[in-house]
Amino acid sequence: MSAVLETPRRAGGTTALETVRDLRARSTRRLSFVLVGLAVLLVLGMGVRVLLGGYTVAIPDFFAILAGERIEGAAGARFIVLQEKLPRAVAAALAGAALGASGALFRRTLRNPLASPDILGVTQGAAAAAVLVLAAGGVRGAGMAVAALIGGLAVTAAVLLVSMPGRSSRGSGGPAGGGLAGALGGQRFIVAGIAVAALGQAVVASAMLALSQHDLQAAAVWTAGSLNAVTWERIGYLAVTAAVLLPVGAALHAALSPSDLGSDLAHGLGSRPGRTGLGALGVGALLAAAATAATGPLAFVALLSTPIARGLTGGRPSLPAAALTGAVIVVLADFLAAEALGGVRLPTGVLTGAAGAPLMLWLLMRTRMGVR
Amino acid sequence: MPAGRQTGRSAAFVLVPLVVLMLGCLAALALGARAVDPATTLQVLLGGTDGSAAEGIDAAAVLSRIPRTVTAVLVGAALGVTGAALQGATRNPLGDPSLLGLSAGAMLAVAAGLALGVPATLVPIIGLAVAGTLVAAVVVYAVAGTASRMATGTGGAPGPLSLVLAGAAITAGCTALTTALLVLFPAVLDRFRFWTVGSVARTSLEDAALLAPLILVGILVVVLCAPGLDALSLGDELAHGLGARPVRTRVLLLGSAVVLTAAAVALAGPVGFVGLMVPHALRRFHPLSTRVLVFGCALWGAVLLVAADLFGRLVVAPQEIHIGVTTVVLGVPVLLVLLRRKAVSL
Repeated sequence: MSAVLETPRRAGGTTALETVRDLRARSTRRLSFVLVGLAVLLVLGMGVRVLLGGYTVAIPDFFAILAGERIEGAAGARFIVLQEKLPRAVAAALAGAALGASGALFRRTLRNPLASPDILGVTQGAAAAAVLVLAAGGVRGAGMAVAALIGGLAVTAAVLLVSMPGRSSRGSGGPAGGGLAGALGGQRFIVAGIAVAALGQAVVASAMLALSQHDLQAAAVWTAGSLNAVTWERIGYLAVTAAVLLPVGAALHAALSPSDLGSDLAHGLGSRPGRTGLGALGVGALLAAAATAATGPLAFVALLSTPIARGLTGGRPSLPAAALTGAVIVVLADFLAAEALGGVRLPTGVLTGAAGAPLMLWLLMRTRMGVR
Repeated sequence: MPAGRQTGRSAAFVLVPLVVLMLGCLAALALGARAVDPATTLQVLLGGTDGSAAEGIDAAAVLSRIPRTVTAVLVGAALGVTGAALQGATRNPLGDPSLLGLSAGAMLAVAAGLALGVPATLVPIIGLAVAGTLVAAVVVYAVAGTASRMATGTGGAPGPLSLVLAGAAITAGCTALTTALLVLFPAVLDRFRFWTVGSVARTSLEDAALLAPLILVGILVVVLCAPGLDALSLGDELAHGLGARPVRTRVLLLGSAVVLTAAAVALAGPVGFVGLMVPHALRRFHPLSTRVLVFGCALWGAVLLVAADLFGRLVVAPQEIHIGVTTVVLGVPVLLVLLRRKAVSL
């Protein structure tokens, strides 16, 4: 949109149609350029994560280990690569992609740059559900992942239900009227989400104090978000969920493009922003919850990958770009958190939280969403 | 309404919670892992035990519950009044030190100071807490003010939504940094693992006694400014026309809110939603003046935290639910109801 306004008028000889066609092609070229660039960056980041750091692995050795060969003189290398470094890199990329895609879906459906699963309490709700089944029934593995998915969905539904304008206040309530459209068009859901996020955090914190006298590592995972406890099993659950939901999410994201014009115009163009939006929020909540089940709540990744991706693509919303941005952020954050301070490993979520807060404040200051 | 009935109502507004608070404190001292009957509890408090073995254990049980009960009273009063002051001074119905990120700022400052080697005694801790609260308040107010200006194109006070969003960002960032400090300096900060949830489980009577005057002064300042609060609610121009001094009133109110928040955090960590719940609940009973409302906030805030502490100790004994968790679990539904009733216009 902004590209149209900024491009100077061409000299005579080209028709308006040609100008538009040219601009669209340029925007598409930029998008594919950004996607390729992000993918390269992600592969490089994962390479750095696996090969460098506290234990350095040579590239030929890495492929030899992957092929199942033994490395002479470094018996532990196989374990460190396959059970420690590679799972962290893969989990970081998957969780980041899921969070980034989830953020893009929430952003587009709710048409608010601050609407993201971490602000609205979806990730905290998923973490709380996972911790509760762990604390109450000792459920681990698949059951915990399922509980996280249910928790994320339940929080999304609760926040939306609470934000629907009541019958008495219809008409005065926001531009979009009552019902679901009212909940999607208003701003109450943000405050409701912040409150629910606080509730989820309190549940996690209290469960952790009761549980973790001897297991601080586990506490860090669920309070701050950390890749320290990642296993191939957890990666498997996340990979399956992401493989199913990312294409669905991308389709819904594209189907929502008319709603960028506002729900009334979108309706006029024949789309059903309400239903598609509900589906998009559901898929987004499941993606965020699946990522949380694997790594705990990684603060601000979902919130920030969409604006960063939009900045890179020149304002064009793109779910793949947001997902790749999220993946790059988490891979880099995990590398820094694990290696930057020498002997001490910070939880990855601590790094994203500390770095993300100033960015969110900046986003809040420059947003023109009518946030009063 | 006749003057006599007004005085009567105002007196009831203060006397009822006072009686409830005394009964609540008695219950909090008597009940727990070893229940002591109320008569013995009173006897222990008045120093009149006869020294038998069973009474000795009873006395020890009662005495061991005094620090946490006193702390709960002080923290609850401080937070209830802070809520009323913040809501009035910012004309923001969502005024609460934890929602606005002030508690998290105080917590981070204390953790950072201790990690850097500041002695873990009360005076440096309260200094750090005040500094952290102040920085958080300034940042939140400045960011929210800019956001509101961007949205409306005019000056004026920041709206509730931008204040709460800025508060959420500050809270998330400060919590992340505090967690980082807990990981980096486990030895220094081990006792703060409980404190970061909001808890009165490990408090000392000396700390409470040292901070009590500070909290009382803070509450007193808010009480004295209360008539100005009424004027502020009409907007700055009208308040000025009525002879109030809005800027001075606001500075005094926000200053005492900062000090009260810092004192509460220094004693018990970040206890959320008390400042939100208590004033909103009391306004439903239409207090006759803001001064009465502020008194009520102090007393009912204390009642709320004493009850939360007692509940947390009894429900899952021998474990306990920390008060910070109980108040959030209570406060979130209250906030959601406020949102639905449109008591909060965004």
